[in-house]
Amino acid sequence: MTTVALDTSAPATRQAVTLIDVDCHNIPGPRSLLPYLEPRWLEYLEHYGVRSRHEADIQPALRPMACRADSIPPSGFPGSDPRFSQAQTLDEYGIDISVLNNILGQINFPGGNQPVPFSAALQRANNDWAMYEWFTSDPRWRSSICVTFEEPDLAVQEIVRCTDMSDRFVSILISTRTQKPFGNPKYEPLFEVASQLGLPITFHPGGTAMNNSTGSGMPSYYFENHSTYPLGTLTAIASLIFEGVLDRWPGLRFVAIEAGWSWAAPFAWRLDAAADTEVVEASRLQRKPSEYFADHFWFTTQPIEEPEDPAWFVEAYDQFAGLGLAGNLMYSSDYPHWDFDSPRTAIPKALPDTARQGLFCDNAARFYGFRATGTDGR
Amino acid sequence: MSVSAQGLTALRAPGGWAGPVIDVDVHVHVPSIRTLFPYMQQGWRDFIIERAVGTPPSFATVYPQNAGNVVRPEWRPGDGGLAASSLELVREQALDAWAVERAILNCYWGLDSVRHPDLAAVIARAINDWLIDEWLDRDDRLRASLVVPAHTFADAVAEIERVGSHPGFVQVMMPVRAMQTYGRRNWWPVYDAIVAHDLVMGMTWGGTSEGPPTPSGWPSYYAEEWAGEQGVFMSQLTSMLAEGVFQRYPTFRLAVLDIGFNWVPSLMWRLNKEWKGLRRTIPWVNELPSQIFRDHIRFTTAPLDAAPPSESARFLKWLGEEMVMFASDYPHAYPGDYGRFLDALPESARPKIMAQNARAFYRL
Repeated sequence: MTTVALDTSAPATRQAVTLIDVDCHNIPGPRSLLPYLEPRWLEYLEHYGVRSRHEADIQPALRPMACRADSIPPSGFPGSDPRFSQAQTLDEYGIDISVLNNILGQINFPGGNQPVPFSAALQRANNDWAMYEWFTSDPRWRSSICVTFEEPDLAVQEIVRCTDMSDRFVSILISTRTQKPFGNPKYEPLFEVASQLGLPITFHPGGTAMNNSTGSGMPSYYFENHSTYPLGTLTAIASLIFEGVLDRWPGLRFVAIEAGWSWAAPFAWRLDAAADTEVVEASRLQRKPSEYFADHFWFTTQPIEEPEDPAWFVEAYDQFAGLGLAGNLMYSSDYPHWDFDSPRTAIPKALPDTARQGLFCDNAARFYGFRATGTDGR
Repeated sequence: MSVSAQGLTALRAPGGWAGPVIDVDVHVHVPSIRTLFPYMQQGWRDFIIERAVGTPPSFATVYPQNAGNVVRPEWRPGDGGLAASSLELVREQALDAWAVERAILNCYWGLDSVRHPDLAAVIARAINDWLIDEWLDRDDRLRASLVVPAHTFADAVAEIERVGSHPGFVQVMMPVRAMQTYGRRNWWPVYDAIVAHDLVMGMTWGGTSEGPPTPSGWPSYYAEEWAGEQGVFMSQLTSMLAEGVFQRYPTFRLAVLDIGFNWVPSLMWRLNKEWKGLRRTIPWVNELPSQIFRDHIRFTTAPLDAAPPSESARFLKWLGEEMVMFASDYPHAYPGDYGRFLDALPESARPKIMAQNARAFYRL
């Protein structure tokens, strides 16, 4: 492991920040992580590969890694080349800060049918790859931390290691396809470390499929898989509320990536109905379920909601904002996926300027603790 | 918000809804497995007695009988018996209370959790015969869903063939949790039978699958599982859409029960959007998902959830006035005041929701 001292801390001075992308994917290519694996795990990888289940292989997407056709760099693997990603996102759109969510770190590597220490080694390698190849290549990159979230104690070690290395590790990356609903006591070490460090937790869809992706077995098509990305977030929110996690760790903050947001208000009201009727279970909660949303749950724009009548977009946004969530929506691009949302065109112009300013910049700056803010000129 | 019968009884109070009411979801319960003995052969009665077979386990896990949402206190029989278990009770507490023109009975009794395939088929037949004898033949206002032993597709087909032509059965009950997603083509022989008998598929809450009810395992709390069950309905609608059920069966009718409608517009929007991007992966789906929903699927008012009435009205506007049918969900106890809900709707929507949509969809 390299121990060369590199300056990978967040730049002390910077220009005004006007545009933040909270979901850009880096995806290690087949050889990207090799420099960061110990000999024992290099040998293991060579003989057995990564065997944990990956749904993209079960239900083929349109292209490898569901990527945009033009996002494949000369090396052949979308999301694997920092300079190429930089040119297509940061430089192309003037993105000032971009948060990397490593897909393989969240989908393939966290665990399942492979040795736990191997999963942990892969996750360390993912984080080292971000540290030594992404952070050093451009000051605008930040990253979520890849962890073995099904082995929370090991995950805590890795979270502490990364945050000790650099303040550019800004959240903890979790799959919405966890083994148990995420409020389960099993995950308490993660809540504790996230609270202590003030780190938000990022939910990204997909996962190692320790459970079927629906309550009635596995779906057949990528269309189904992709359409139902919000589902795991519903489970996680219900679980975090009813398990009392948000009462015990009142500083915890979560962001749901690629999950949409127009379902949040109706779901909050459904949770309220559940609490209204199941008084025996809900009486120990400190608040009504819908009242937890503004303090604890953030949402991202991509894929941007497209109501049947475009005029309903603002209505839906107002309903969402009415729940206290105006500050909880953040722009995300989902680069390099096929359904990438451009900051120039994706967000309807009908949305008021204050809302646009919030979601393009201010909300994420507050959420992640990025200091600089500026004026969104888009 | 308090949970009381007021929301439903207020419907018919002076100044309340004076037009016709069709209630598409009245739950009835088999009082005891012995109730079904007249509808079984002696050998099966012996089987049940010797093994002390009781009410199938899903009944109590899906509807824990003392949970808050399962029975309104005033609807519990004074003798300690099971709620909604006799025609007399249901007449007094529901059918007469809100003066129904028609009501559709749904008997969710945990049949899906009977793994013994032969016993499951016997119980299914007995429930359907009991529904005919004790309910449908005794009150003209009643229609019902027939139940099927769905772990064995051929047995489900056989049961639809056996009783599906009875004029009282208008629907086949298919709990939302199943062995496989409902779009899977293994189900198509069941759909052949449903369509051939001109029946509706009624997707209800409950059921049994090989895995947990969420993509991330078993919830701890009942309230959590109940609230999150929306997700399984979303998966099932997505599955049926993606696999082309509605193209293969142009007359297919699906009633989505027990789960309200507030969540549907958001799902339709997402499906429309995904379809625009991914339609070449499912080329047989040759129409916008929202159009397919409107041509084939209906939802019910119950439960209204805790949405303010003005927001419920907004969800209905987004969804369409034709898409929702009144359901009391008797004897369940959900918050929501139907008087305030109806008041919040445009006048044009009220008769549709209270009766017209159901009359057209179920051909009552």
